[in-house]
Amino acid sequence: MAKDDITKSFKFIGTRPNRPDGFEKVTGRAKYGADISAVGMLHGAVLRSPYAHARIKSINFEKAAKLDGVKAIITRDDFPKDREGEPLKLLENTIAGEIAYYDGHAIAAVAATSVFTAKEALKEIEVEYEVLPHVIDVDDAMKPDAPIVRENAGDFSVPEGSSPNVASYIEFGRGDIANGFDKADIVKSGLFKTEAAHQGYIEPHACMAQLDHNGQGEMWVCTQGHWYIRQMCSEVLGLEASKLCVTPSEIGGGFGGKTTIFIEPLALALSKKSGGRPVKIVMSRSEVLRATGPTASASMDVKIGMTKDGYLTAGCVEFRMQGGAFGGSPVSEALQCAFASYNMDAVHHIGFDVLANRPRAAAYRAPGSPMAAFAVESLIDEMCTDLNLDPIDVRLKNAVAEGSKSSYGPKFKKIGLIETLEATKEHPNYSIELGVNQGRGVAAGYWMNHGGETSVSVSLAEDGSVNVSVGTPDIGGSRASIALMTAETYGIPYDSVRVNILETGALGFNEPTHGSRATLASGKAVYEAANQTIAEMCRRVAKKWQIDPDAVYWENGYAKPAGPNAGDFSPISIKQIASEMDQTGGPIAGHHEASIRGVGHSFGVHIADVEVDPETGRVTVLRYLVAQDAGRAVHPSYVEGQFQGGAVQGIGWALNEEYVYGEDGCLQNAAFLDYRIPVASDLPNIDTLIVEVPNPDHPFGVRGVGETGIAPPLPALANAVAAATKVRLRSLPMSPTKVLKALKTGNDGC
Amino acid sequence: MAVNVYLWASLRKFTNDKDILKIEATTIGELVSVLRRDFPGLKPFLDSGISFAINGELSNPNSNETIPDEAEIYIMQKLKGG
Repeated sequence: MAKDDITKSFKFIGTRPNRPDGFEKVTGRAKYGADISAVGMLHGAVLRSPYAHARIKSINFEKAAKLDGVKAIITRDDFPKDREGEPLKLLENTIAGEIAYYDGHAIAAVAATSVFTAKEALKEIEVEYEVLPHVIDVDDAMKPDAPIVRENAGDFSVPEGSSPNVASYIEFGRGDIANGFDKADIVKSGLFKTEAAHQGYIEPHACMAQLDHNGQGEMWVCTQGHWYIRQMCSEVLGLEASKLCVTPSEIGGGFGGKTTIFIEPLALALSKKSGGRPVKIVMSRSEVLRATGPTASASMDVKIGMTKDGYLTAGCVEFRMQGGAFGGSPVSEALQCAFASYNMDAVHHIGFDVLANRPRAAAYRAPGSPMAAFAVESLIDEMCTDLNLDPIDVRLKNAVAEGSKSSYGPKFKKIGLIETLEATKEHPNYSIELGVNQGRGVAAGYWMNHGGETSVSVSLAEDGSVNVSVGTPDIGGSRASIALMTAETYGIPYDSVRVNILETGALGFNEPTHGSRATLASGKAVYEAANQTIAEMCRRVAKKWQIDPDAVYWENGYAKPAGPNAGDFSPISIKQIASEMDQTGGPIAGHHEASIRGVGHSFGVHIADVEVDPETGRVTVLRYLVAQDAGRAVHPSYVEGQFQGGAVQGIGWALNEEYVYGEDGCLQNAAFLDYRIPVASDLPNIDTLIVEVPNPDHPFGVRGVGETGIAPPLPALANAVAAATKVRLRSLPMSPTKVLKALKTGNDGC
Repeated sequence: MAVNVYLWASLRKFTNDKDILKIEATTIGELVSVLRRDFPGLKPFLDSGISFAINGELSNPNSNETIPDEAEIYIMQKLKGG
């Protein structure tokens, strides 16, 4: 589609109809992971390691097995012993073998006739441990005398002589770094640190699984990607993938944390061992925090050169990120995002994925980008302050645009960073006068977005309404946006479209709803599938009119003759065509399968105003603005919701949230009372500014909006606190204790 | 048909210290085969889950996809999204 076509006015795109899942959710009718049950269902519970690192010398479950109501107990012995590579890591993280690698690591699991009985049985399982030395901090893990988390864990990329806890190594860059720094009028460097944070989704992990002795099974699960669940469970358990049918429930948040497996193979194994009875496992909040996948903690060195008029001349980063006991930190993505917003001739990136005795990191909203933004955008802000330069003007001078070579290599196509910066500068929030102890911070952020493997189908109902079938669970409004794009394609009302999320047997492989891809990728695929059905409807009408199919075109829900030469025919509606399907050739349906191309890169700019209480160190967010290029906001309310949600999670990460470990290596704040995510009373209204620079490679200009919004809050708030206090905090979270200490000493010790 | 393949510097140890390779290939599948044949040390990287940027467009590998002559191709780790 030509670029001009996607800047035209739409009939449905850009409107704000009611969400299709709203009624079910506010009335409690929607079924989430824990809401599923079945006849004969058992309840599962998981015994977890109380140690950060321990050898499992023996497990005795004789007493537990004798309890009335206990139907199955599993340990690692009940899983295949020939796994290797990534399936072995998944299995190891799902249930410990000889070694428990972190506090909360699963040791055994029980299925019983009630939750109470299952939990009582856990108390009767006797495990003999030999406690081993542990390491929690990423920098400690890289020291020469650090305890080794897992022997020989480094992959092909790790340079000789590295710490045995380095799992992988990445290095890339371009340009003459030394020359770049020589050109600068000011060169600054700094060490920045962020702690691990959890996605904090409100719905804990839950699933119900059934597996027969012959390897045929079913699962109902709360997940962002049920094909991933099928693939991973099949690999871990040695099942044939097509024999396992996985159905997603509604989902109460995921943010990347529900793109992998934790309890799912345990439920399947318990079901098989109990003779094929369905087994449901629901995690507690404590289990979610101890034993699922938070994001990595990070230790980051940054060095940047800038001319006195604000041009960036060179940048270097070395990021060390711990991804838990099995690796998997987002260090690669973090490096790609670090300088992605800026034109720089000389950049150099080094990254280490480091093991520690913590749960394996999972994806978290724009994985890696928030940490990178915190380090780079904080240092740029320090330089702007030193040189008395406007932070938005500096970013405008250096902003990437169409044709710019990204800091990680590929050239950008049409992007909207400059438009977003300009819109931010014009916003009233940027000129509101501030008071005593108040400060303003600005920061930019980037996420590359993702297309991914996608399979959809579209079918015409007999009354002319349309069923759309997708495989991307609806986390943030994709049912509404896909329905709007479908309505736009056909020219039929939004209410005449129903979008269904199907199980794994009904469509080809779909990647999860991750990478901000659901609206972009499923929407693009649905557009293609819908156009197949439109072509078929035009063919059938052409046959009826006895004219060439090319002489029929589609507009606003009607097949019409293409012009006077095509003949004098009255338009035929989709309703009429649908009602005659059985007489004109049978059902009309379309489908599309592809690795979706045409990803649109996403940039955002945030402004945070804060007030810092010098007596307590408390940071109050006074006002907050999110500006972001959405490409095209298909359903603006959902887009605004994504912007606000990203900002709120970033605010929590910046000010409150952190994994706190004791000397024993055990997590000390495994509950929402102690792991404090922001609640409504902690926050101002989050103002939003939707910038629309359409993605030329998407039929409706969509870029994907879900993730970028979490990157700028970390540095925007750090920059605001620095402006308010004249003290720079280089480590997160900026809790009252840390802020107060920094006010007294002049820094946060980082 | 030749394309320019850009590899991250940390992979130079497998490619005779080069991070830009001129490869004769018309499809992604051919390109990966040539890389495997000529630089066997890259195998674990190529097997680890990769994505491509072909003339600036990010995508998953599609072995039958035709590559434009003189295309600029970056091979990167497969993205983890949240």
